[in-house]
Amino acid sequence: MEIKVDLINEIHVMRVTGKLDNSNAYDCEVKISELIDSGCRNLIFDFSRLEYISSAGLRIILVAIRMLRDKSGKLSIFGMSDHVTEVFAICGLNSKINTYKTQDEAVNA
Amino acid sequence: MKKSIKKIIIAKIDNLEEIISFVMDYSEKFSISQRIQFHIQLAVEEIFVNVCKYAYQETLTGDVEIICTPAPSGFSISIEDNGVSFNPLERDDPDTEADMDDRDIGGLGIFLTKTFIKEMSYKRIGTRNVTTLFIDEEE
Repeated sequence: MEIKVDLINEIHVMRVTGKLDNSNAYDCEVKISELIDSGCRNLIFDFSRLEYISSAGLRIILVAIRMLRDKSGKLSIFGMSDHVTEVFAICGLNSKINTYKTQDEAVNA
Repeated sequence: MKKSIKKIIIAKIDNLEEIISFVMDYSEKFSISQRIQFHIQLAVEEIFVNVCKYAYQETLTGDVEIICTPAPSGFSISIEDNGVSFNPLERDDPDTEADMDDRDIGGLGIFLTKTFIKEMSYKRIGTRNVTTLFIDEEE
């Protein structure tokens, strides 16, 4: 897994590439915490290169939502593959998280 | 002729990738779509992580044995350990309709596994937990 963060119009876009699983989700969680602690209030995940996610990945998204909610921030995701979409849907999360097809849609929402 | 294969490895999260490679290499011998490959990968990850976290309680050191066996309609994957008794099928399903604020963050892994793998079993055999996933080949 690789993580890269871009800042677009004061929005942090976290691009996660590869597999997000139990072996690396903690690294991602640390990165999210650092961003929120440093003032990030609008966090967008770019999942267009995320090949695979397990419950460990879902868990950090839920943690991030709670961290941002406490600070009146927001979180959204774009570019989810079929596999990632299916995992979110089964857990009833895609109806409760703002998801978009493209970066433009997510940034302008 | 497909053969049964097995691997014994220390139950620690660092070994996840090796376990997944072992199972996915085997599953590629069968007629299974990429979607089902994802389901198998997720199920094996979630069961393995449960063994590390609950059966061995993150502090005990022990082995996990993974056995892949051909079956008439596909194959099975057994995941065995010597940890404390832990039946993943007995875990309550999370409330997936719950509001984000009330939502319990745990329990999603086993729920996903049960959803993706139509047939799975758990047995306590002597001092061992034996969880088996049954995978059907597709038409």
